Amino acid sequence: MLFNSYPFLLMFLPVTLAGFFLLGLWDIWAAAAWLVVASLFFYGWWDVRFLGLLLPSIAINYAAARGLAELAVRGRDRQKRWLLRAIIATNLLVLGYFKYMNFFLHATNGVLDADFGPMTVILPLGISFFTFTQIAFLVDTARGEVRQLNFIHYSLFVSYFPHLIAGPILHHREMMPQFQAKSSYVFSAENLAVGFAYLAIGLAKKCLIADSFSPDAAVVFEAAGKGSALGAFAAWQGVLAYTLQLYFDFSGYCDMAIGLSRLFGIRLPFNFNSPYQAAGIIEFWRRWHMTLSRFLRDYLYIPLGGNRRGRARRHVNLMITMLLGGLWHGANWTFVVWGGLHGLYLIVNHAWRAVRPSAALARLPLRLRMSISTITTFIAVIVGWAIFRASDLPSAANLLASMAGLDGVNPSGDVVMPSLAAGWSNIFGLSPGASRCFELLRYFGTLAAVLALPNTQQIIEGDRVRRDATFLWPQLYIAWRNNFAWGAVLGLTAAATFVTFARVSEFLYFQF
Amino acid sequence: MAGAKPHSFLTGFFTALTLALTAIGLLNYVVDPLHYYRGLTAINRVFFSGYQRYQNVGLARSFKYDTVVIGSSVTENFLPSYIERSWGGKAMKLSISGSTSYEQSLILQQAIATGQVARVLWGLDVSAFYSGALRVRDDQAPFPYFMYRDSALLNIEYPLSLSTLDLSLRVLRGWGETDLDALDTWYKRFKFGAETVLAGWSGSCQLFDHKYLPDRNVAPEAAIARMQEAVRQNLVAIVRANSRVSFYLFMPPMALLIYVPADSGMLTYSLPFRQYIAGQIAAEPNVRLFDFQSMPALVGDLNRYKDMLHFDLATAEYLIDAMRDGTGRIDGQQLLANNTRLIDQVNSYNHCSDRGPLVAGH
Repeated sequence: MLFNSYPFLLMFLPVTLAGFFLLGLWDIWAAAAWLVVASLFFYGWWDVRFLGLLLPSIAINYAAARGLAELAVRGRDRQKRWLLRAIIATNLLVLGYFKYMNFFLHATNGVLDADFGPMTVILPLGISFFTFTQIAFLVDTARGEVRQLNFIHYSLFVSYFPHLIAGPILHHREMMPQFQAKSSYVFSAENLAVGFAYLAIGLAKKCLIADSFSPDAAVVFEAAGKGSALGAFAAWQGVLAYTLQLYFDFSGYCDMAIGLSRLFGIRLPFNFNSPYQAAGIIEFWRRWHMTLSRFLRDYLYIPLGGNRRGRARRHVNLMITMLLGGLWHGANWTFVVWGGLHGLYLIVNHAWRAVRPSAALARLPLRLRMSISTITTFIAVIVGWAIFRASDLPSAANLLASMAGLDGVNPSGDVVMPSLAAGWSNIFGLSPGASRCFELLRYFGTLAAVLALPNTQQIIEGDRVRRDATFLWPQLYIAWRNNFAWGAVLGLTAAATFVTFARVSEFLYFQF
Repeated sequence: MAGAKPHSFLTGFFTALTLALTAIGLLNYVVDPLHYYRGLTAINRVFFSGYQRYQNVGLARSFKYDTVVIGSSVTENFLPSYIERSWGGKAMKLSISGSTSYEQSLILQQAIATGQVARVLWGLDVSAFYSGALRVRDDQAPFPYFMYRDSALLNIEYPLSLSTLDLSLRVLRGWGETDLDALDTWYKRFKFGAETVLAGWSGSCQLFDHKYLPDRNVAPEAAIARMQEAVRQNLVAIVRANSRVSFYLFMPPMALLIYVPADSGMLTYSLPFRQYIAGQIAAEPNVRLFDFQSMPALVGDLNRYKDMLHFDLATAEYLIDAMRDGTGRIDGQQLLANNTRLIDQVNSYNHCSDRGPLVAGH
């Protein structure tokens, strides 16, 4: 069940909401249990077999957490460490089997010249998210930082449907107290208003913006995979389209998750904070997929030694963290290389920070310096996305070569860029020139929005969110108000997204 | 947000959402561009080519007929007007190009549910069944399951879709096709003939030397099991559940060239399919089975085709008349015997020696 679908919005969500608040009037444990059941139903709707992994995962990790807590109380540190290692290893083995087995087999074939055939493994959705969430919980339990070990709340913490499929990666410190609080189970019209505002904006980002760039990106990356000569213009257009698609898709999804959770009175952590406005890669990673960055920092980079063992070791730790962070995104060398590239970016950024700007640089106006930094960072990120989205490394190399202009400026004949405007141009009588103008406006308008508009949480909860001091351009100030006009505007926005849920498309079978 | 009135936002939100969706839904409902709710009206007298997976549901639900044509693109030149002249009654073509057997079964069930179907002409494509019992084509667009729900009330996607609105606007501007008989036909769009077929063939003369050997050329068990499941679920179950409907099931002709080289590909998969059909369905009392795949006059003459699969209008009309007259009708035993005949034809086929050098593929 996708968030942007009728079954979810018209059936699952109203029933789950109504059940939650009605049961909350009677007993908050029943309401929490109802939310667990609803979350499992939501997860099982994708494929009921997925529950065969999620349920044992919750049960085993919960039992392990109780064991760790017991050992911590008794002061049996050695046994506690062994149990922690064993349960983390078990989680990682399960994740490795389901997500990376064929990747490892393929890599083994390459290294050992072996001939292991691919295995048929169904990848359960969200396995990386619920594995990481639980590992963090177990580590903190062993550290004695977990105060509450209730099975219903733990199950809800892991399976909570707004975050289960694609995050944000939750931390028990911010979730468990909310699950415990009686106020979370009381109906609040204000939470409902804020929740629907997030949901509408998230839907618009996903359905109206991200999906409109998807065909452009798909054409270019598919052509790169076939080895076509793309030319610099189409290559940059395709990668820029993907850059925008990915941001609006993922941040839109997170907005929806935050909004859906808020309907139930539960606040999820923010996951994006205008990452393309970052004036450096270090800053980019504080703004992009923030909960993953937090997890990697707290449970990988710092345990590796962080920056406590000298500059060289910090760079090694950064590189290890980013390589594994890359691999976390998927079982493909492209993700590893992308992670490595960002590791390199971070090392360069740290090195740059260690060097004092020369007198000449210092004389440049701050806004100009920030603009140069922001644009440089943005281009570096775009180059990274070219590798991230490519189907394999040769495709990525082909695309990067095209972006560098090695096969000219214009695409070869077999690459035809789609046009969003073309589909509607006949209906509205748009000329080809007007359609091209619309396309240009779409790209530049979206870019301008990304670089100059406040993000969703700044719009809706500006009083809670810090606004950054320096921007490439002066940021427009938009503040959501809890009034009829904002309701009407976002209601119309939601309606505009609803009508995109089902497509009636011509099937073009070329040959048939 | 201190002092805010929480209900004012929610009132505006749900009012605007409801009004906007109602307006779009109402317009789409009234115009009904795919004839889902009603047939021809003063507002909508057009059809859209290429929308078979959507529009055929409307054709099945909202029009009068007693005979339906089911199948893939090879049945798209079965003109309803010709069927009516040949057989009498009222015909409706519900073919879907590139369709799987599951898609064909879904649209047929939509038609049968109207209670007006007396006769089904169904072209049994091998590939449509090997794709599996529940497979749909969603490689170009998601399969529109919403159009196939039992009740129109459950289909809210159709009236609330931006794409439907696009089609509604086209209808209001008078765009679309008005000739239902010619809708989605392609016999005028392509050049037919041996030269065209051979130009599109990627093989060479050496391939005719390969021979089919029943013991050696065996399809994978998993593929056979998948096909058999599709036959049982998407064909046999429907035939048995509708004993009052007459099913004219036919193996559409394919150019013999499609089996070359004979030791791989088409024949390896086609023969088990034909054998399974013979065992499962041929004896059903409401089934008449026809085999046009082993008729030399149809399969050996490349001039009938635009490619190895798609035959011309004259051949389509011949098949319609043949089924009416019982020509090519077989029972299960004859179908099995025809398999041997087909193997012999394929193994002795050599277009190079018969017709001179190939125009392509050297």
